[in-house]
Amino acid sequence: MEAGYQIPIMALLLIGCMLTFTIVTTFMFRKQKTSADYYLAGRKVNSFINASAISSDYLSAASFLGVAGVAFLYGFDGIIYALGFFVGYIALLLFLASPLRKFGRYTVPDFVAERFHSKPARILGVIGVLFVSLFYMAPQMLGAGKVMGLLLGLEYETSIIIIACIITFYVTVGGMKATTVNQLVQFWILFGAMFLLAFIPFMVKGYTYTDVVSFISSFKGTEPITGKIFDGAAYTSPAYWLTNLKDTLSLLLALMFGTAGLPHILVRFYTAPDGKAARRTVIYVLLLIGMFYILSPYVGHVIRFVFLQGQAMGVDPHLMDWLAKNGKNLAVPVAGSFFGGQILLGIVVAGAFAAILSTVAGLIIACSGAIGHDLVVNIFNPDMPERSRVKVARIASVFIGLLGIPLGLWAENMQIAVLVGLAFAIAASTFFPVLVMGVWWPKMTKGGACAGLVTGLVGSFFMILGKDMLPVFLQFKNPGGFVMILTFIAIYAVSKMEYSSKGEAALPHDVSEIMAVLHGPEKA
Amino acid sequence: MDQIEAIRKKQLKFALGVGVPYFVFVISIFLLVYLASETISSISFLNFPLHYWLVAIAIYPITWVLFIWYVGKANAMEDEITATMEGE
Repeated sequence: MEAGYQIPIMALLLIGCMLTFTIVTTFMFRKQKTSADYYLAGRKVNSFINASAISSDYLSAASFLGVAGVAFLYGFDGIIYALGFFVGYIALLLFLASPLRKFGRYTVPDFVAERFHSKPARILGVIGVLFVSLFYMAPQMLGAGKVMGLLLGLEYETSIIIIACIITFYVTVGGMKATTVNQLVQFWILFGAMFLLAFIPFMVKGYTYTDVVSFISSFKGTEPITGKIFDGAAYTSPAYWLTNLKDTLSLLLALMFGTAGLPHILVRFYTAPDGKAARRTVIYVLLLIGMFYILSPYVGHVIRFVFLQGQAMGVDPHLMDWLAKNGKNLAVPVAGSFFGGQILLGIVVAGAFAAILSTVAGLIIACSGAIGHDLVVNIFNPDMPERSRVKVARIASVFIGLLGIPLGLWAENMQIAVLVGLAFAIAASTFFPVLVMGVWWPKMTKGGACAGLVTGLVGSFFMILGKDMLPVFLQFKNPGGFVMILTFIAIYAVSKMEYSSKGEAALPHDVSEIMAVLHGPEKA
Repeated sequence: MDQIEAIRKKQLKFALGVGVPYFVFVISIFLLVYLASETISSISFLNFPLHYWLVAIAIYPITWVLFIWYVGKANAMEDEITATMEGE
């Protein structure tokens, strides 16, 4: 622990209150009669509650810590993340929310398998869910580790282990019902925290967005502590970080269409009572997260404004040190501590934990659905009794929850929003094209679906993890948009080839019935 | 089944009719901001740079209004389809 640093007791008390609520709720909802209760809260969640829960699911560490952090780090260019995360819901609303709810299965692989009657498509779907969700989980663990380490002065590794155990416990015991209730409360904690972080500097201190941007853009000199040259005019202009159009467009497309391929968000639409409720839910979500994404880049800019004037504003040296060393991920808690002392720090850290707990809970439910329901039940043992299915779901939850530990250790030195952007890239290039074409194009074939899933998975895997081995023109900061286009082409080309060689036999035998379910009126 | 095909096409046409212009609008704003960055950065509205107005503020209320209208229309279309099919 740093010399002179005192553990903020008040902040810990607030976080303790939130964790106590979580534990009580988890125990209240621990009895799950059926696997539909466990995965989908019995499909009876009303639109506003569901919207709060979905927003909480969606506003992860990447949004709560990462968007303000990336705005602190890259200025105007960081705002692309806020906008992209927000616009992502539109594709979901337009093309998927209602048809997927009408189709009414548990998971995304369920849809792929039943639409095309294909076991390989289900297995590829499971791989996709795990790939996207684990990539998404890593930055959540990173956020949790950094914030907990900051607050308690703990080692990063210790923080990761503690957080993974808490989350695993609460998802495994509570399932989707407890997760939904907790997410509802957690959303309002994290939204309230972000609101206060913007309200205090704006209304109390009088730092308007205009003043902040104007001060930063006129600053040219060295940053405090690091001594790095800082050019404010470039920072507040486009192309400070995103220096070429290829990267900018690919990132924007990944963020715009990745949301509609995120398994833990898609699964939430199955919890709505019907297709119309699913659409209404998206509208509430857009209103809630839109307000959040207007505020968070402002907070990132305000913290840059404070950092540049550190000494003159009397900022504590340890806060300046945190900003200099890890402002990219810790700008939000530092803002809490600076603007509202221990109480606001407590609310902000509770908000960060709320964001992380709710998102990781959603990811664990989606992954346990993919392993328990899609793999174990549907591939290996379709006759498994209902009680055993719940047990399998819980075992899968423990396994996935504890995987958070190595993932968190791997992600230690990365930026949260950038890393989540890569999870969006995989979702945009794997599930989005397959789902959209599967829902709207009756002539899509089984081969087309598998080709799309393979292109998305292999393409994003190599372009993210094997980036350095590729020629420069194929290296992207975020390859999502590029691979997504390849996936659409693969689906179209393979389906056309299969159709031209086999004719109608290339299509699933019940394609008309499936189209009637997806697009026709809902049965009462 | 021809009726379902007609409904599917009607729904798709409506979704694309709203979605394509919207996505083109969002991407165009970005292209404008990045390709004409010097010009855009030098323009201010109410003392706030135009590129911040466009990307950080204005897009949100535009999206809200457009898609509240869209959901109302889409759900009304769905009711209409149900009524037509039940009447037959």
